Amino acid sequence: MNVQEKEKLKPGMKNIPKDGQVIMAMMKEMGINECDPKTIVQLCEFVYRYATSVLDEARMYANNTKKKNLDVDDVKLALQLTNESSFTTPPPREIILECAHVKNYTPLQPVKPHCGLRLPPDRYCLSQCNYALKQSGATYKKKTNYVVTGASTGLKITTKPNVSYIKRSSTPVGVTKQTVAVPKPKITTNLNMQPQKTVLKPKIHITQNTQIQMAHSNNSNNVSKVMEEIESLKRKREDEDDIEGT
Amino acid sequence: MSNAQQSVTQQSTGAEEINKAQLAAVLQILKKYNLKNTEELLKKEANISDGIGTQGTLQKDSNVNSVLTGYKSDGDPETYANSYRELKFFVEDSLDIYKHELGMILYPVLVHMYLELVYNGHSEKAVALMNSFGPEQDTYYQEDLKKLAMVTKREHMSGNELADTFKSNQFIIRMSRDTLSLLKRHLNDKKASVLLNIIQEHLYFDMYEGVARNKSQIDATSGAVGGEAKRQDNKAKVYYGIPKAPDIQTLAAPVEEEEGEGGEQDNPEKKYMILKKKKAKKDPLFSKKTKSDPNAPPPDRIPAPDLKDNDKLEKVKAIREASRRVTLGQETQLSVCCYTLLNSNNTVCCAEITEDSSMLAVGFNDCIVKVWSLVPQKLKALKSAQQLQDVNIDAEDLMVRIMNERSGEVSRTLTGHSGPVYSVSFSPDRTLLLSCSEDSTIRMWSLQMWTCLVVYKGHLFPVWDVKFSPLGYYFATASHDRTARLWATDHYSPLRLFAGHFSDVDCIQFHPNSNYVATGSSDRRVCLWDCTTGNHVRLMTGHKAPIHSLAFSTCGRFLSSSGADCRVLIWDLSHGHLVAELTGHEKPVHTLAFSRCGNILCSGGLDCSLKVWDFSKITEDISSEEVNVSHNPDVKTGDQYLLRDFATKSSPLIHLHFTRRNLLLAVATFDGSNP
Repeated sequence: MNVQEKEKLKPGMKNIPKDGQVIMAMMKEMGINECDPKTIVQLCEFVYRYATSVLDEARMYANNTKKKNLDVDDVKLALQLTNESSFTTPPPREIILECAHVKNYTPLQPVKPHCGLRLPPDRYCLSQCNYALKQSGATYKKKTNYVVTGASTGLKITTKPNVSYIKRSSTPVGVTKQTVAVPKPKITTNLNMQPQKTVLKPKIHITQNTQIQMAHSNNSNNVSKVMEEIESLKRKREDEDDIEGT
Repeated sequence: MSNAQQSVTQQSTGAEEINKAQLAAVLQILKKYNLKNTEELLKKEANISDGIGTQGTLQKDSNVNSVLTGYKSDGDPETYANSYRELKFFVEDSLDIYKHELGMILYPVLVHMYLELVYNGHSEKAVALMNSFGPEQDTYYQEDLKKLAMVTKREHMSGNELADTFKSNQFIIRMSRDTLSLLKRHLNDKKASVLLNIIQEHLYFDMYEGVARNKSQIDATSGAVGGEAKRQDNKAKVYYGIPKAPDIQTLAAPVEEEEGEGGEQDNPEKKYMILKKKKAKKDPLFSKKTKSDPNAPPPDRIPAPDLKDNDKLEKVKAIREASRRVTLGQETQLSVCCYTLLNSNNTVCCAEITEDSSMLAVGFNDCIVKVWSLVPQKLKALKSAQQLQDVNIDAEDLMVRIMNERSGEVSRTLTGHSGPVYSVSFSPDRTLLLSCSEDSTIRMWSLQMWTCLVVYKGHLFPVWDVKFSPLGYYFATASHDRTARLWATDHYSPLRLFAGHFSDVDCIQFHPNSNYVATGSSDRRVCLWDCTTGNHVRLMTGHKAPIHSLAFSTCGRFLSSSGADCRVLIWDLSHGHLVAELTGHEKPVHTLAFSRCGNILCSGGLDCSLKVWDFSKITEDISSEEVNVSHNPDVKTGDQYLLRDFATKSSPLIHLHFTRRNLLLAVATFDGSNP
């Protein structure tokens, strides 16, 4: 029994499926004689997945030309395109050198005196508020499904079949300037164009210099309710973004 | 002292042939862009008739680009092996003093012959050439030859990094005048056109006056992709000194004045007293540092952010700590405290400890960064916005008050990257952390809010290393795209692009004076870059394998580097010479650290051992020797510098750090799989 077990443990070529053996042979040719057994499994996995994705793509091309079966040209095209997109190499040294020459031509700028963290302009930071409030326009009024209670806060939230926008009435009563940095709404009526992803939270909850003041509403319930709704909308928006992104 | 390029000159029929082909290529380009007048002029001048220009010398299948690469050759494939063999015999038969220097041309000649054969479609001949002469090359070239041997078709050449490098760059060989003239004479006698072409097109001889080098001298500096460094590369002046620190003496003075004048500070009296007291106490300590280093850069050479009160207090603290430092040496052995990361085998990529040894950050290959507190104080987060409103901003302990006392944790996780985190770096003031990842981004995290603040994009490929400058504000990154970049935290795009390496830049390190950046690359070269101009000022060859780690000596004059060749090399930045080679490690060396006093160098790596080297002895031995630009000093080797060897229990070391009092902290990962 002991002998049998030993034989099993021995990494004999017979126990490894043919694909694994091919990969081992390839590695040997590349000069790799010793490796973790897991490596072979992983490389096999890669080979399968790569082949599948290339063939999938080839089938798409075949379908596109209304052919019934795949042919060599489809596979060739698929290979060529995947090669261009996924097996890229860094740009040639000469091009990099040229870029470097241009870039390094400008002298280093003196450091500006600054208070607090030195960060790039807001639009490049993650601390930036990255949702936009919309001016409530006449076009939306008909479609408004519900208006948040406590409309006196000036915040109206409308929902639409696909997209939800947070609207601000023309006179921003309760929202102080610092609260939500509203990029002057250049009303983007096109619903398919969503300029920015909605992540609301950071600015309001964390940063020191931001705060929400509801001037006209003494009822704190209202505030929290609005907040909740904004949150839920935000989640919704994100979900939608995800779907679009895929 | 003429160090101008000395290339082998020759007149032969081969050269004319090439000329014709090149002219034809130019003509073709002109035709392509419809530049008729120029074309006619050129034809007239070169006396080329239409027939020869386009169809005669040019074969139809070879396009313009291929002609310009210079590998087009009409040479008989049979002659290659013979002319290589002849060259080999010539080298072996020459006098012993010239033999080794002449031997340096064998490797590049073989490579170019191989590529030329492959390019012209004689694959079998190429493989035969490689098989018969490849194995007899120096051991450190074997890896590259193996990679090149995979190129057997012309189509393979374009994707191969090494073949590209050889094709578009000259291989640099340093040679004494006598050896070079000997070689030239031989080539002129032989008239072997294949060899002549290769030597003229692809080799660059950097000639020097003096005696030819011996085998060990040559071995010390050879091994890099692209040959040795030219003397020209190491001529620029490097301000390697450390500028007189804008120290508390100078620092405290303006602060005192400001506050004395009834300044804006909230609690002038108290602070004033503190500073004054410290100043009085530490005076003797500061006075030691007052002599300025003649090699130091002017203080305004690189724009530096101005120090804030907090930074100043931090400096005072650091100096106070430093006064309790143990000076290490042969008599006073160092103590090591090792942090072992358990259950982390194969998941940890990097580790870093803050300058004051209070926090440890570790980057994992599952995209997260973890930060631990190494002191009893826990990691606290900022209070929420509502709570911050209630904080009295006039309070003197404002920094304490804004933190949420109940949020203290021993470790915190930062999530955001979408690939393995290859390196992390703390800012000097410990409020920021940088991390770089396979996803080609660099992220800056706030260690007060524990969120990501900025994502710096610019590299197109995985980023291998990131380092904050000792000044703060600036940071540098190294990437697979063969560049290193200098950034500032408030700029979205990089400020400088350090380009020139032939392969991945694997590691990067700031010079202690922040004016320079050193990079180590997979092309086995170490490079020093000037942050102000973006040019390289030192190029150092001698490593035989990719470089994993770099460290500047405390004095700023020396650079140590280590890598997969299991050696630690010490370079003198004043002239770019290799001065010492420390052998002893059995596996790649991944981390290096100089003690705060500058007397000790520690190295640790995959062989689970930590070696302590006597650096003060090395510098002593070097200073006794006369060194100038042209004279290479003898490389110090041997075990004479090894002071101690600490072994860990199957825990490869990934980071070393000296505390302000010179206790060595090591970070290792326990590898449970092979106990």
